[in-house]
Amino acid sequence: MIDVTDLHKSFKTRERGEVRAVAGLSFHVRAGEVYGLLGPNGAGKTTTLRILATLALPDRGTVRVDGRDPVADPIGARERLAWVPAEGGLPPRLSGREVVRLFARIQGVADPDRVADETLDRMGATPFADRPCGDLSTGMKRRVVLARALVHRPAALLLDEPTDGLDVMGRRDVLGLVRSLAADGRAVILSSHVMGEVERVVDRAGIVAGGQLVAEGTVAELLARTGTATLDDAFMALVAPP
Amino acid sequence: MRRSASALAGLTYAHALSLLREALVRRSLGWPVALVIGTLLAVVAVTTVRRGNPTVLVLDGAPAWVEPTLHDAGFATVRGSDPVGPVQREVVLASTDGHQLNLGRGGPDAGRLEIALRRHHGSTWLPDVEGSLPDLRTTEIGGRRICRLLGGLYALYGAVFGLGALARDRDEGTLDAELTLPIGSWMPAFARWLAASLLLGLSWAVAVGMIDALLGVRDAGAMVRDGIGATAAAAALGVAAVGRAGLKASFSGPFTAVAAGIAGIVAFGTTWPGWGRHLPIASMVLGGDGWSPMFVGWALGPLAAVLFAWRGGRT
Repeated sequence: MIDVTDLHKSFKTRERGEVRAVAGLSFHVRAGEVYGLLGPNGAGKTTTLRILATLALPDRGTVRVDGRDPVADPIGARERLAWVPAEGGLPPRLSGREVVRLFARIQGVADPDRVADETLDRMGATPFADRPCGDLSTGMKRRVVLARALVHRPAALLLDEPTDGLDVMGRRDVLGLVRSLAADGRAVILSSHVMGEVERVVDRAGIVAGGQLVAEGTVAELLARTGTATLDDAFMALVAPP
Repeated sequence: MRRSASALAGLTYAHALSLLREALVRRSLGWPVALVIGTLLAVVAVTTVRRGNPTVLVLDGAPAWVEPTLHDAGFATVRGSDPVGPVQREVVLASTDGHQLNLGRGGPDAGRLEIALRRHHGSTWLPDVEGSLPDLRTTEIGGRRICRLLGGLYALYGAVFGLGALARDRDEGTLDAELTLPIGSWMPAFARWLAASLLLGLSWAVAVGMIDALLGVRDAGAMVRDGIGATAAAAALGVAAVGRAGLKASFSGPFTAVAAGIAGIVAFGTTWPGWGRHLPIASMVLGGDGWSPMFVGWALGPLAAVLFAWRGGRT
């Protein structure tokens, strides 16, 4: 469903010169699978997701989303994916219902208002759907953002740090929603730098550091490989060996 | 094509709605109109209060012809014996016995009163109290000057709207969310430009219309077109310059570039007025029929959106 092969991406910065954000990253995510793209800040997770989301261009390598090339055919790829940025990206003065209905219309959904309302309901966002997004709590915003992302029933879902800023209850809610989205047959990539909270949700995880894949497998495989008890410890063993 | 048109309409509507719900924008757009309405009301209030009392006190013992003559001239009359007190207290405009006139102050009403009495007596001369209403040509020039100043502010708003909307939405992630929609990468920028230009253009037209109603604006239609072109062009400059800047990072560079661009257009236009009359923003200073600057200003929007997509859409 989602293929990333030998992906490279560098940025030029004034302070640090050329920075290699992604350096030869490859992984594959199947339909119905939640794939955790895990790594510390600056590991290249967001850059990889932005390339998949058609927001950035790779220097080298290939990416495919449901068979579409986000570089050569961005419109085709955008029809099949949904991007949930870490910032949320909700206009503060529009209501959640207005936003989701607008996205449904632009995505070409048949009967967009009804589908938008149903999606908001499925995400548990109906009680606050008519309030301006700027007045919502972080957890409420996440639900609206997920509704916006899912309104056109995308085949692939790209979630960048979806639990950032959420309290314990909010985190549990959002991760539960993520699990149910994969159960519908979607390929879900979830990036996070908090290992512990995603280990119950992901089917497989790729540990990324310095723009490269350090290890990949199910949580059990990663724990067995490192001889550790938690994903946090496994990560430390892989990325920062003693 | 149909999907693109529908997406553009939807995004433009959403951004216009978003702008209108922003208190600061509402105030920014509303104050010129409020200022004009306030001025109009103040003028009405002041002229009502300062108009004075056109009632004349006819002294006891005055001939019978006095009151009908004054009524014919449009004055109300009261009877009394004190020729000075009521005039000093401004209870009445003047007092008269038909021969002598006691006035508290001058003005057109006092002049008309004197004329009415002199006419009755067959005077060989009459005072000239037609008054001199300001020459319309003079006030129209004043109105145009005010519009030019206001137009400069509107152009600045246009630049801030064009730059700020994209930079802020980039910081908030709203822009990225729209850029992952199955539409051209130019469209989110174009929709923001269109929403800002429509709102500013409409507000500008209302403001000029009201100044025209109050003072007169020489060739008000051309002034409206000039301003619509100027705001659209300034917003387009903002969209073209913003690149990958956000409000929190790298904003000062594009803002300086836009300010320099606006100054450059005005300088170019005033140096070569033949060209300048066709350039948006510069035409506000130079005058002209306003058609070509308006079309140029609105043509810059799509170009700016394409430039934005090229510079800042995908990196």
